Amino acid sequence: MPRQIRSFDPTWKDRAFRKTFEKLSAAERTRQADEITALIELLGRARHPTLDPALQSWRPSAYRVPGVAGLFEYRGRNLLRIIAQWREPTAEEPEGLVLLIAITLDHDHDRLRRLIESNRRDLD
Amino acid sequence: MNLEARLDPKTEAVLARLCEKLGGLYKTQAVKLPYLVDVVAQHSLGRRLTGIRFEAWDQGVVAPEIYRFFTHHPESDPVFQVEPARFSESAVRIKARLGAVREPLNEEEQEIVDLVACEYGRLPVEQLGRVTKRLNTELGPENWGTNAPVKLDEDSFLRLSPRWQDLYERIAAADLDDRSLWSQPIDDPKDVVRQLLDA
Repeated sequence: MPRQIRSFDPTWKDRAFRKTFEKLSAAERTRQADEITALIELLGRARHPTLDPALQSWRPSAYRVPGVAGLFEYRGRNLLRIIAQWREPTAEEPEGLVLLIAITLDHDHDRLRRLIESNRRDLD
Repeated sequence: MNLEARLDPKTEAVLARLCEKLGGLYKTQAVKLPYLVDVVAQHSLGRRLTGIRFEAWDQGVVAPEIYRFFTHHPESDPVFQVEPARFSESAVRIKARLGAVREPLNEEEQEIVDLVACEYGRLPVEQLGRVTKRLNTELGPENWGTNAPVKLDEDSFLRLSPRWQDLYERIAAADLDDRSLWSQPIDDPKDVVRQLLDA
């Protein structure tokens, strides 16, 4: 039986993600959607949050936040990043549970690029 | 003067430029801002500017070499002047004589240092320390306050973005155990994307 997947909606459902996603071309949107779907399927059946061979293309690593256990970061192609929490099995969820915490596509590269260009203009 | 007592020329130039842009540096800024300079430089130029080692200290990322240099600063140093900060028991204020820098930064290097000065040079020092910690989310609380090496790659650059930094704070503040904030079990992964787009 695959592991249960849920999302933690206050941080998972993010308007910034939607806005960035909607700016993508149709082909890119399809590719990103397929990538997200593939990871979620994998998280449902992977045996380990970082060591499962099927997850290796996502370059998984611990995502350490003081006071919060079990967070891991998964890296898609380009800028897609997903943070998920692996929770221990309970009577209610005997296979454990993966809680989707955050998803990002946008890392303000444009903003930094603009700042660098603006600095260049100031120097000229 | 013993030349070995000086910082390497590029590190010296980075610190001197930061001093110029910010009107001087506190030691905490001097040991942390060059890390952010190298993170941005690695992304923008494909190489670092300073080449010095950075470590995970208690209050964030620190360049030990710079820390030692300004802790045992030779008064005869031709570039940097170190003075006690006003109304502070322990802080020092660092100023630079730009004309004495041995290897000035080129234009693109200056742009990067200026960007870091502009974006992070006015942050309170405790906040600056937290920014550097959030670039290294693989490290847990037990790693800070050691001399563990820190990241200086594309991931650290991505984590520098305000959005990523904000996300970290929101996760730290969230009560992930509150099941009333959880979605229903996701039976079809394709629903996830649809739900995200309805957000």
